[in-house]
Amino acid sequence: MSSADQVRTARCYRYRMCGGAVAVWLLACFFLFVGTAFSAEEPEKFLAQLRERGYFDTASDYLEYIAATDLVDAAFKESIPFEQAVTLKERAARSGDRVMQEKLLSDAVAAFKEFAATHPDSLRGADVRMEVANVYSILARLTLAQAKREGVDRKPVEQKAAKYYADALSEVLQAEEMIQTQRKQVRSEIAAVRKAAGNAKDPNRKVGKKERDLIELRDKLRNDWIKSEYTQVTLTDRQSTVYEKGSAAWKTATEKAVKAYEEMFFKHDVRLVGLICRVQQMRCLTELGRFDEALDCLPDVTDYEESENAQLRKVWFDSFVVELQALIGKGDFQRAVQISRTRLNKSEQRSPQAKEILYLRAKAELALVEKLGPDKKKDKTRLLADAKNVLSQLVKSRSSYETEAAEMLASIGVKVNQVEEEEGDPEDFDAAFRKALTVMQRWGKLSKQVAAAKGNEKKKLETQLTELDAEAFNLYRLAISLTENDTSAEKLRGVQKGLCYLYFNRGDYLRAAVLGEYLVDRYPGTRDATFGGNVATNAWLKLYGEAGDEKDFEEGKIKQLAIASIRRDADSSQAQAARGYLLTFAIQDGEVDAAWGYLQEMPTSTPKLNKSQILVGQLLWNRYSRSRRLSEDARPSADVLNSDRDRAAELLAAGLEGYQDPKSLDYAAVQGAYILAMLLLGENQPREAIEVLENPVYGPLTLIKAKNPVVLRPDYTAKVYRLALRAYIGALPLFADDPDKQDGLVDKAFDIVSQLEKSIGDDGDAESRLTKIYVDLGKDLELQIQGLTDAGEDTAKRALVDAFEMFLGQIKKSPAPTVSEELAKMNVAKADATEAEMKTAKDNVAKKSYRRLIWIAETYFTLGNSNRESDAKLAKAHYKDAAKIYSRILKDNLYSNPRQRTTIRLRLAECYRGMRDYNKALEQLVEVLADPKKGGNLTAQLQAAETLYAAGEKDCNDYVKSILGDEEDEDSGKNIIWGWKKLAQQTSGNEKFANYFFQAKLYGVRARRMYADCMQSDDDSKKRKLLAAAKGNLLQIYSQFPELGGEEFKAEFEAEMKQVQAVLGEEQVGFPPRESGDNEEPLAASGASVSR
Amino acid sequence: MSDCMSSVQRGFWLGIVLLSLVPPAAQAADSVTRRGVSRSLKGDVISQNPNSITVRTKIGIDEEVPVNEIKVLRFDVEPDGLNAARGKFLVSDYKQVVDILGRVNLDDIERVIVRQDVEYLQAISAARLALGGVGSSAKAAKMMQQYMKDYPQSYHEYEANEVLGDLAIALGKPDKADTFYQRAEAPWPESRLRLALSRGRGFMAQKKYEDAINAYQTVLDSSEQGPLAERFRLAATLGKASAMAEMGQGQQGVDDVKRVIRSAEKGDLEIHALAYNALGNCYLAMQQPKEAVLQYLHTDTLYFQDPRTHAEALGRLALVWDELNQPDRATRARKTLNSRYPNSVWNK
Repeated sequence: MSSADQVRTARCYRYRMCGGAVAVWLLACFFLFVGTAFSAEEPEKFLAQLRERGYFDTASDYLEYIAATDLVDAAFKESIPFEQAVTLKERAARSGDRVMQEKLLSDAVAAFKEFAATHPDSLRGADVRMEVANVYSILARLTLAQAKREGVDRKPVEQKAAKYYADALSEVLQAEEMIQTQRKQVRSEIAAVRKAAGNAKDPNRKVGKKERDLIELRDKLRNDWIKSEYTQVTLTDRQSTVYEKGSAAWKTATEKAVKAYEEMFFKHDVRLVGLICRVQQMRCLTELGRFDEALDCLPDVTDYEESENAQLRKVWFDSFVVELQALIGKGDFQRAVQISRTRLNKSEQRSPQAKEILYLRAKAELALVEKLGPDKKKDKTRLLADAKNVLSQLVKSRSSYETEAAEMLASIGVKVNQVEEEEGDPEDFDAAFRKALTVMQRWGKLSKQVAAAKGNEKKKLETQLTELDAEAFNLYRLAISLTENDTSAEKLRGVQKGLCYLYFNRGDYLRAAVLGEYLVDRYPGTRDATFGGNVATNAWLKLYGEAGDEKDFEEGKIKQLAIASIRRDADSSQAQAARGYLLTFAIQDGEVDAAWGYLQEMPTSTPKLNKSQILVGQLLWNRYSRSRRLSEDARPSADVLNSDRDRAAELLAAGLEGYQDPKSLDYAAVQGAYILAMLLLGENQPREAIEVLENPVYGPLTLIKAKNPVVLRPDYTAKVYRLALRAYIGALPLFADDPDKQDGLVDKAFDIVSQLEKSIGDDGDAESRLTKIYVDLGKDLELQIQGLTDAGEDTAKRALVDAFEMFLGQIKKSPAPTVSEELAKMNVAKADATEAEMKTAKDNVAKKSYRRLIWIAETYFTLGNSNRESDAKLAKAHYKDAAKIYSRILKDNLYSNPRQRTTIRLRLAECYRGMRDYNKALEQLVEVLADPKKGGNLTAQLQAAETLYAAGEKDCNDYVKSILGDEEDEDSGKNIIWGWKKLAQQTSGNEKFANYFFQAKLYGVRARRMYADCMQSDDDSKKRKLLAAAKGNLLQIYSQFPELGGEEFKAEFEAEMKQVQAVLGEEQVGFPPRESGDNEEPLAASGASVSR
Repeated sequence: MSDCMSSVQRGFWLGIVLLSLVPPAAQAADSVTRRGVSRSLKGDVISQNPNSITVRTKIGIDEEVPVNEIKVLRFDVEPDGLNAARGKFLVSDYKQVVDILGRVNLDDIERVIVRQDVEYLQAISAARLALGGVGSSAKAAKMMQQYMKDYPQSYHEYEANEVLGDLAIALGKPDKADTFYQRAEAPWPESRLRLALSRGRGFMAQKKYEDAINAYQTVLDSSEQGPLAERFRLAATLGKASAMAEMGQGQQGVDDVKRVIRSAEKGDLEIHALAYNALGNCYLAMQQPKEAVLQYLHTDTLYFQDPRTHAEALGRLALVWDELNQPDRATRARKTLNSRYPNSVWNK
């Protein structure tokens, strides 16, 4: 019965099943068959044609189209979901993309199941189950194919495949149950029809049409039942393939298959299916090494050797192959040789199916040669000659045993040239193409050998490989030159593919990329396009790696291909890889939202997903940190900020989860751990932060202690120590009732301080480095306290400040270093000390004192900063404490490097500014800037301008001074303090000082606005003039530098513009939108643009 | 469409030319099977003219059979292969007809009327192939003209003229075509319909769509009855739908063509091919390439026997696949078109 007929018959059955009334069913069938004279569409035939051509999308379109027309009957319309599912399944079979295949097959299963659910009475219920079982079986095989890949953990793959087979078996069992129910019904209906006819026992009675149709249905159902039984047995057999051959699990599963095949044989021994099962049983027994038992099955099939029935002859043939395998397995080579020679006639020996017999014959002959004694020299020679002859035939005929045969020939010392070359140069396209393919086949085989070879052999093979590469390349090029108008488009595409691959292989990446892109554009939706896309992407990646600093073009190409790949088929493995590239670039380019978006689309099975999670987590954290530092006006809303922070925390934690093997650790992981600890600390979760820092696998402190090479990077240790110090001190309030715990934390904190001091070394710059560490620590702490303030967690903030005060108190209490101690360490008695020894001891004391005091001073300074806005009195007290210590360091000359003097003086000025003692602050700054060598100290100039700006709160004129400068030098007549204006002029055009420049520009405007606000004048027009000038100034900056100095400054400038607009009574719209054509300002944010 | 009428005419004339695959009767005689008559008329064909043949029966009565009533005509003694060639002609396998009859030695055929039928089958098969894009139209026309010159009283006269009209259109000579079509006008009523279809096809080839619609409308408006007239009307419906589609009016055509598909006999491959092409054209006119491609694919995969309709489907497919951004499939269609119908108008 053809498939179309089967479908039609099945459609008839459905009517029957719905109503349970034979009459209705027969009537439906009648109309269907009558309808063959005048019927509209032939959907089954048409679908079969579309699927055969691989036009699955069109088949799907057709089913949608036809559902809305009256060109097919209702029965077919009902089966449309079933046909859609079949289309998906068949599409999967043609897809070369494993991921795609899996997806399509899963979709097919869902579609079949949906059909079954929506058509519970359909006779196709059993068909659906069988189809689903088939799909599960395919999925199992696909899954097992993965297990063969290098580096794949076999265990979970085995489990997955076993599950698929178990599901398949379950579906077939259900199918059988349905078929049996239907059989029962049909049998009773046949009996009823016969009874109604009243002549059931009359052998000559005329069988009515109704009965004939029912008998036909009965026979079909019997076939379906046997098919379902056979499928169950084969699935049982297949389950053994899940396990590694020879393993205990494999053995158990194969034994089960043996039993199942045997039962099936005894049940259906008169049917073809029974005989097939017997042969399969033989095969399983042979695989298990139970050769005699396998051979015992032979009598059941031997008779069919002479059968003229092709199917029965095939059964015998298959048994013959297994017989030979069993004989060879048990070592009866003599018999194997004997029967392999006698049973196949010459025409059979030439058939493709007989190659295996020939192969086994040669195998048996060679084994027999080994087994025969030296007295059988003649027999051995004869056997060897025959084996050589057979194996040579196998090699020459390029059978699937070609490689094995060649290896066997090689083992007996026969060198084989597996490929017979066509003589002479190709003269037309086809000849060149054919020859190129042959060479490429050799290339493929040789490249495998190269991979396996070592030493000189490898070098030799590599040379041969290069020669083959050149030969294939030239042949492809020749083929191109021989192209005619009627050249096969398919072959031409083959040449393009070959060249594309070889260009890549030869390192000509640009040509490979261009040709690959051509394949993508020219043959969309094909495997060749996928191939071209892969080569092009990889080629651009190579070129990207080779490019210098300018990689935009290559990056653009990779992105373009990746986006196209996702657009083509969002579920393919290429699309997944494409997302990976896009994610990498987004991370690299700091495109936070894009990176987050791509990451969300990555499947959980993506390799190294955890690393990507950490990198994107870092991006989010960086944006969060940056945004938090913006002024209130420029800062994004709390929701936006918190979203970034929470996403960062989530990704970092998830990413670190994936690092459970210390060997897999990389810098991304340790950096992620550091950031996560910092984030947790910022959230006032010091205990959790400490857990991350001390994590036994990825904890930064653990790794530093173990001197893991991953963390041996400049600054990493210092920043981790800073963080750990804050965490340990920050955790103190958590254990207010547990002095032991607190002591433990204090000890750890001291240990960190000690490690920090050790880590800076002992050279001339050590003090600067240490100062920088404490300055940075102060900034970190300030931010932490700021975070608590912003979150309204005053209690936590107070506790943290108290903890630090307590810790500072501990440090203060610790004994100060003395000269005597130092001399004792030098083993010199004070009385005996030489002048030099005394100097060394004093220097050491000064050094140690400095290290102790600078930490205390910086921490007080930080506490001052942190409380400046919220508790001015407390802040002032902290600044005062800090200033006192800075003054002492200056007074006692505790620093060894003169540069430290300037640094500390500037710090002192900051303390005075914090105490709102602007005059004292400016005194310190002028003292620094008055030094001709320090006049150009940008840090000091900036600080001085800031101080004058801050002083504006007391004296409005100081805003003006902050712009124009102050403190005229008596000798030169110029201002010692430059002010914002000169600061901007001096830094303009220098990329290195871009931040100074933009800050000076911003505050120049801000000071103008502030002055307009506080100036003593009744003349509003003067104020407006000032504000209008401020606005004009802003617009001028915007026009000159549309990027406004980068993200942070841009937000500040925008906020300032709105402020100015507000006081001018205008709508707060910020800067006007840029006109098209104005956007060619790529260097605007850099200093390079400043010079224009 | 340009070739939509060919199948209808062929259906009619096949009865006369190709007749039967039934094995020769035991009793030696020529045999004529007439439409609507179950028993065949046996005897000797003693004369012919464009309107009828005369059969002298065993009892010596001369019976005149009008050409339009002849369903099957076979001869007492025939060369090997003639019967097989008829069979191939019936399934539009003109290439096989030409190949089989190419092996027949005409000099061995004693009876003129038998030789005449062999030559006619060769000429009309060559013409059908040429109209489908296989071989030269000019050569086929020359062959047919030679046939008419050699057999001026042939009972194939009207059909030969009609085919010459088709070839003239294919050669870009519509004026000449009309002359041939006028000569093809037979005295029986359905002939008028058949020629109206031919003219409609001619107008289509010249892109005179309004004229084509008028020609088809005369068929649709006719009051002739019978299965042949009905078939002509189906063909006219399809021709009109295609013409309207070319003028940008697809929607009406869709419904009409679907009606034809529903009512056409299942085995009538030619009507189906014409119908699906027409439906494709209607969808194209409606800017629905996805739907159009489905129809042309029907012709390409299921109803590909007639070269002209198949060539058209392939030519259209190539264009629509391109439009749907499926160059691979477009290439496949072009390749098939090029290899099977190298001289087709759709291949240019």
